Amino acid sequence: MAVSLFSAAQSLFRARRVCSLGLSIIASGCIVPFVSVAWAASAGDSRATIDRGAYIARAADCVACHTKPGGVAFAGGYGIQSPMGVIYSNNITPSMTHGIGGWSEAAFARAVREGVSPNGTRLYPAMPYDSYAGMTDEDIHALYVYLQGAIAPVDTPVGPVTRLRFPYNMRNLMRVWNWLYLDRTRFAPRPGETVAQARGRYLVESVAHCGTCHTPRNFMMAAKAGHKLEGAQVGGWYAPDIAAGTHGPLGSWRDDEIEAYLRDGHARDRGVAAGPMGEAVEHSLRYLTESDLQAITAYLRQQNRSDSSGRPVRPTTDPARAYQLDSPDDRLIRHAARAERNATPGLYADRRNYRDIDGGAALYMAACASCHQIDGRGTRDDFYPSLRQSSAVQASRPNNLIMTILAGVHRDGADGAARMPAFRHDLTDQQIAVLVHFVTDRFGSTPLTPSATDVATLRRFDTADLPAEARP
Amino acid sequence: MAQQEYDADVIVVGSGVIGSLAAHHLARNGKSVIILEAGTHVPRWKILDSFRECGNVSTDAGNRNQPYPNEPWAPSSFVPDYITNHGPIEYVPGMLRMVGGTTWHWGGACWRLLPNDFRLKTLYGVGRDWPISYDDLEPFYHQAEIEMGVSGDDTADYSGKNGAPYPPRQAPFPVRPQAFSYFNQRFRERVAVGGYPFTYQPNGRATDPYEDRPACVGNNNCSPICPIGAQYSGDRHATKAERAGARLISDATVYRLEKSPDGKRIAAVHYYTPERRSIRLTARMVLVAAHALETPRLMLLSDVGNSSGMVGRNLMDHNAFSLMMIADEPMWSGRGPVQQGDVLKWRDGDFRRQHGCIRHEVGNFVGNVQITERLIAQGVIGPELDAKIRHMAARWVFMGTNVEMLPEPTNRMSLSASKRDFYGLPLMDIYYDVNDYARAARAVIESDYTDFLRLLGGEIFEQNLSVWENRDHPMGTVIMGSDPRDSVVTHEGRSHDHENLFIATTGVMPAASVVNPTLTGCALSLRSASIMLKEI
Repeated sequence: MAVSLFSAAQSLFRARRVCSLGLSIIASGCIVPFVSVAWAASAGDSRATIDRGAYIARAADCVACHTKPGGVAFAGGYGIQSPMGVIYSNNITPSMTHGIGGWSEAAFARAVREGVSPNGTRLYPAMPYDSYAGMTDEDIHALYVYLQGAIAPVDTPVGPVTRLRFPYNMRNLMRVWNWLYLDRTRFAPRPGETVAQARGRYLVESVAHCGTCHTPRNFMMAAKAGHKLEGAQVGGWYAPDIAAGTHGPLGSWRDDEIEAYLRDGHARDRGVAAGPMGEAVEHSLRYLTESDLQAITAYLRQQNRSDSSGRPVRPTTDPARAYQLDSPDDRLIRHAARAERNATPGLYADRRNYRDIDGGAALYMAACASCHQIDGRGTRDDFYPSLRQSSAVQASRPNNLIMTILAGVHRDGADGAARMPAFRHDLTDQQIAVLVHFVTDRFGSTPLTPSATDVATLRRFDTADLPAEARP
Repeated sequence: MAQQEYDADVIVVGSGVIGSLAAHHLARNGKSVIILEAGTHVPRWKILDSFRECGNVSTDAGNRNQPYPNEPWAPSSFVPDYITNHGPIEYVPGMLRMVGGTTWHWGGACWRLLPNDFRLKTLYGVGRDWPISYDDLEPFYHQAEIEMGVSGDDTADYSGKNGAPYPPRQAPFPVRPQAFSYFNQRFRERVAVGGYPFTYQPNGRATDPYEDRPACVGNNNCSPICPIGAQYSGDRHATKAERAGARLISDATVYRLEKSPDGKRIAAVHYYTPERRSIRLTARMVLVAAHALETPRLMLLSDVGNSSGMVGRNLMDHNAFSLMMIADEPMWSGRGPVQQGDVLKWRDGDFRRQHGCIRHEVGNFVGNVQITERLIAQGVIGPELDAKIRHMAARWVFMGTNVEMLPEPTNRMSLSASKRDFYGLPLMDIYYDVNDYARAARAVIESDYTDFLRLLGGEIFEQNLSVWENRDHPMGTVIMGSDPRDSVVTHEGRSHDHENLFIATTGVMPAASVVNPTLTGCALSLRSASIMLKEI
């Protein structure tokens, strides 16, 4: 199966933060402004408004894109990669010289919801203003008060300036784009919606801008009408269809599983958040209140698909969770590894050459089984997730499995940190292809057979380890 | 100085933890760095795969080098003829030659020395004083601990006196201590009754995820290979140095440091490729971080830095004894990492005028292999064998003791007259003996062992109080000192003879103390790197 690159190319404005190298720095750096006392809040702005603004900033995940690796939170300069060039985020601290300190609330609202700077410059929709367009005046006000009053101004330039190649450097083209695609309707509850469903719709569609990744884009990088949240490629990753209605792919997930996934970044026997979704959990979703997580879930439940779209219905739990050291499944895999070894004993005995080893079971045993266990069932507490029920393994595309093997998992969720080592240096393209086949064949419902070339293609999106000067 | 082109600002010889930390620090601060490594790069999974195929090597009896690359041009230390012993005590430390070095198969202990360890001569009239104090090194201990993610107990008195937290530190350990395993809890409780303090061993295993490393889950496989990379290994900083711009050349065996015509500087570094092609590289400064035995070997091969005649001499280790017992209750040794704590009762004190300080390290091993071999040799078979293995393995207690040695010039590594390496260059001879100062500790150890057996209701499985074991902690071979007549490097780690030659290995340590020397070697290396940084 070939990895589709067509949709990968469409990921222009959604290849957000594929670089994970500086994440821990950002993660620690971004906490400070929220817990520290108000910087210079004016008397009229209540603590409650600032808190609400801080929460909205979390939910909208402003910090992720408006902070460069190792930089001060909200001071901008983060490079968002796109096939047309690198788009650098702005300084949104209240600096009068380099930030938004001089902006009126109306100007701020126009930038966030319409993508137009106070000086008339058009923003690129790397800033998801097409989602933020629905944000309420109250939330825009709170966000404005928070950014202006509760964080310290950073009076330094963001660094590099966005210079896209022609014709994308013509920012006025965005007028046309906005005319075609920007829905300026503010959020308002609809008849027939429950309170939770309405809140969930507001969060998913506007503030948390889930559709930025999960809704496929047309050739103009605008959300495809009628395909809301149906899944799309994001860099090398694939943001899956997240409909949780009866026929939706998340239909079999329990409410608490969806909520745990958003909050902790993993749900036992369901899957883990890695790559861009791991970052969304780390920077944003883990801070949401329980009622907001429930609201998101309620809204996703409303998202239905007309049929099961050919997706296999998988068992909800694995009845054979034995956790014994020598289970029949263990033995099968060990015997398979033994057979591979016996076929080319010299290769395995060689202490130096690791690149030519291509036995799927042997590779799995050596590189994966120490954590995911020989039978792929992980550990009882989900610290090491099961591969048998993992959405990345069960998926019909190998993207997320390949990207996870390349880049590892580096995510802080509400219940703690998850680290899976990156194998980008340790496994060849061919070895990763073999491993993906082995894992999906043994533990998945549909064996996938990506080629080494497919892995090489996705490897280009795994940019975390480039030398410093080559990074955006 | 005339304008001169260099291949790099700094050439670092050796990609183990000590060299890689310095290389990373220099590269991160904008210097051009070339790292030359005699061995090759192999990923963790390959080592793990090899380990599983080569039998039980996790016990002390085994050869921990087995799962690792062992190239003819970069042999690991147990290859026959690599080291030839001529002295009364066999000395062949476990050592790897590959990217990341020997911390691939260590136990992760990351000790700071105590302030008194730096003033042995002044305080106790034995050995040598360091030319620097604990306070001089403290900032670099701190830096090394952060780089390596060291876990430790901020409340512990590491002088073994059950007092206030000691030694002084500018900041808490970067990683919190791991909970004691049941075995270590029980051990601690039982020996405490007899007045033996048991403290958490500072270590480089991630208790919580640290940078890219997952948390330790107690595979009990720290050596020969942590299967998941929770335990720090030198390849981390070799890779980080590369990411910071350093160029790492593997399969590059450095065989000669070329002196400038006036002899005051190192003009070039020569290395061989596996095809025996010789390559010459130049740099403003050279940092040799090639292990405590290979570093003096390279200096002797090059006739470099040896105006004192001390290169290769003053070899020290923490030679001592061991005790394995079957306790009177199930202890369940073998759950968690292989080492978690130590008895530091004899860590420091006036007794150091008479005998070396003593550290009893408690090994959290699985005893099944030794137990089964013993029982089978005794003719035990069938259901009785199973029952006895279960009974004894549950009650297994292993203690490995370390003793402080003093620098003795007669204990030395020198070039072999007859044995040659892949390139035809002399291999190593070693003469090693334990001096009276260390030997005087034997009576104390014997008395302690009697106490431990009593306190744990133990029955001796094996007690060694006669054959001096070594702990793979080589020190002293390129000894640091302020007098160029009896030492090889200055307090900066700089050669007394060549102004642009720095040496970073545990071999520079002029006093052995009694704790694993890796972190001290790392701190000294980072200190040297900070000095080099100012001069380039």
